[in-house]
Amino acid sequence: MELLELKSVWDVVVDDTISKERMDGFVVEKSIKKDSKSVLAKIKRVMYFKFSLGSLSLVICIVMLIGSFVNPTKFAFYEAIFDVMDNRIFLATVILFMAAMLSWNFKAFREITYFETSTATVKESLKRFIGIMGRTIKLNIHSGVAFNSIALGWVSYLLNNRKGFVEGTMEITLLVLAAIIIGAVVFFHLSRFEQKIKFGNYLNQLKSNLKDLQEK
Amino acid sequence: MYCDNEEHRKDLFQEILIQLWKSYPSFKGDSKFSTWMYRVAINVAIQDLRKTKKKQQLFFQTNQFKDASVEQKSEAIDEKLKLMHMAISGLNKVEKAIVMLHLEEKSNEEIADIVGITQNYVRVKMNRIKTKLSKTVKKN
Repeated sequence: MELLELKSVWDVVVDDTISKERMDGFVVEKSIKKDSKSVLAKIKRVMYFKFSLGSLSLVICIVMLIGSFVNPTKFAFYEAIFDVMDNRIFLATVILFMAAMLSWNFKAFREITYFETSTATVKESLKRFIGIMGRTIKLNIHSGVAFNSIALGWVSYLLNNRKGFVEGTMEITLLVLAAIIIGAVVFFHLSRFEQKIKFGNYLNQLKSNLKDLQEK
Repeated sequence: MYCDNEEHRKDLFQEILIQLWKSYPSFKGDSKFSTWMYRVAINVAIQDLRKTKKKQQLFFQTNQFKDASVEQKSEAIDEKLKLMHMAISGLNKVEKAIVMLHLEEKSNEEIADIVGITQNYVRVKMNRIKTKLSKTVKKN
């Protein structure tokens, strides 16, 4: 099929589409107001959820940490296993983790919003989009690994402290460290596999499109 | 060109409208309005996550014109339509964009400006696309 021939058929298709699909302002306005189904819009929606949940947890933990200094008996929890110092260290860990997660998520969110509202050439846009997707995937993997391994470390501490399987600070510390390291390795691979299933093919396709635009 | 069924086509059209609306403030008038619009539309189409299933695509596109006025069109055109969609389905997303701009009678300069490559590379790409199109048609 020659290009000229293709052009004549294309014109038929375009004329047909134009004659069938006239849209008035109301329909356009309605379409614009609908939620976007793009990959970035979906990632942003997950980020909104993380912001809400993270901010709430952060506020609760800060209140509890302050409370543990002002009124230690009232703000103690899990007293059988956690003493006041454990409680404070636990809350401080969660606060640090949440603050770091929120700031990284906010940075990624801002980058996505800026990208969404800018207009670059197809090649430049693809390059930036692949970069953003790569960084977002890394953030998801790393935050998941950090959250899960820290949680596993604390569970290990809870199980072994006082009435646990082992006694002695050294043994408990080693068990907690082992739980954190094993947790980090396992969750890293699980999380990477999950992201690969979700976005692997898609990213490869985008990279191959970008490669197609690189002049040799 | 980028969609495998009517629902996907409508979704993509809506995504393009949303994106045009969102990025309109970034239009500074440095390039033509149509250049800006094509950039946004092609970026949305290329970054679309859904995969195109070739079999479904042919099914949809050969049936798309069986209603109303188009039904009266000659069999020759219908046959050419099938051929066109078959040929285009063998192209990747970037090639589809370039051939679409070419069919829309955009100059090499404009195509280069929209896609972000040199005019020389547009010519190279067009030659490759022509070869690919005729190969696909011969194969089928």
